[in-house]
Amino acid sequence: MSTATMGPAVSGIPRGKGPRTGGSGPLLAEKTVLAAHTELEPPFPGVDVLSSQGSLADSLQGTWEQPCRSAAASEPLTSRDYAATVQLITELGREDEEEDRPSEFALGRTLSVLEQAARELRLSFPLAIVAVGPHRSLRLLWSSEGREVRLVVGGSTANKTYLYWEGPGQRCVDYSVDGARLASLLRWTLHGI
Amino acid sequence: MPIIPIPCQEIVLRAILRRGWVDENARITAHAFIRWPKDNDGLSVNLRSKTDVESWLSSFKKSYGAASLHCGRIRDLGLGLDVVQMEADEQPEHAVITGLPYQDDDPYGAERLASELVKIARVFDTTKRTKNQYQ
Repeated sequence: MSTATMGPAVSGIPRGKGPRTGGSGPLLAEKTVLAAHTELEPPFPGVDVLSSQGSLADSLQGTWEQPCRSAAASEPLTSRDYAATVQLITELGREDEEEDRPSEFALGRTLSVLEQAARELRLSFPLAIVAVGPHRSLRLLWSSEGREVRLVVGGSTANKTYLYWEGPGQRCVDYSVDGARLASLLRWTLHGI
Repeated sequence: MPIIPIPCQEIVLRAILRRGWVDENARITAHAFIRWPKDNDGLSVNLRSKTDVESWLSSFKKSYGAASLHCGRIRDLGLGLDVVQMEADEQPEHAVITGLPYQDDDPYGAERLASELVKIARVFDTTKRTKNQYQ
């Protein structure tokens, strides 16, 4: 369900300016050749984020450190900002107080959506501003050139999960949350398309 | 519950209690103006004129500074927001911004109003503090 009528178009990924809030920017200049991987792998191989026992954050320790790479292309397939975003989320999962930690549900759903978006955006995936929200939800925010998108993943199925975006003269809540939709909104945020 | 309106010329401070409430360039983000379940009466703020900022921000487990907002500008948004004190509140420096929905009740309203507050908020302090750090 959408609250507003206009939405960003889904299209390709032109080169352009990085996000104001996005740290090192969406593009990764690294050219390291690796032969280990021939295709994009999930960021957390072997981790079932929705059903794993114990602390999900502990399970993820170390898995964010390297961007996914392709031997065929001889270049990383995901940006350092994606890895950094996952790191920020993982760090939140290690907070001492329960109310400061996102729920396992929020962690799992968020990482799943981000992984899907990263597969589409690859080097253009921008760094998010991450915070725990009410009911141990996870709130992520990207902003650039007067446009902003927020991903809010509720702490449980009883809480709301949605994408919110706004730009000059338009704003919308979208409850259809998946990686493709997030990728589309991030392209719009970064490049206005 | 009886409420006391805060004069338009007052400045209120919103404590930055989480790292993601400011970005790496020390700009306030919308995360800072989302109402939590414990915010029964409204978004918690302090009156600048009655607050010992150092003591206040050091009383939280962690804090990352504070944002300031002009009460008149909050009202001038024309979005149903107000700044009031609860008569029963035992802290004379404490006030609340009313009119913000919870994100679970009204995501569009919560996010939109958070955006509007970001636009009129100013960075007041960006010092990271932990509780009793000076003891």
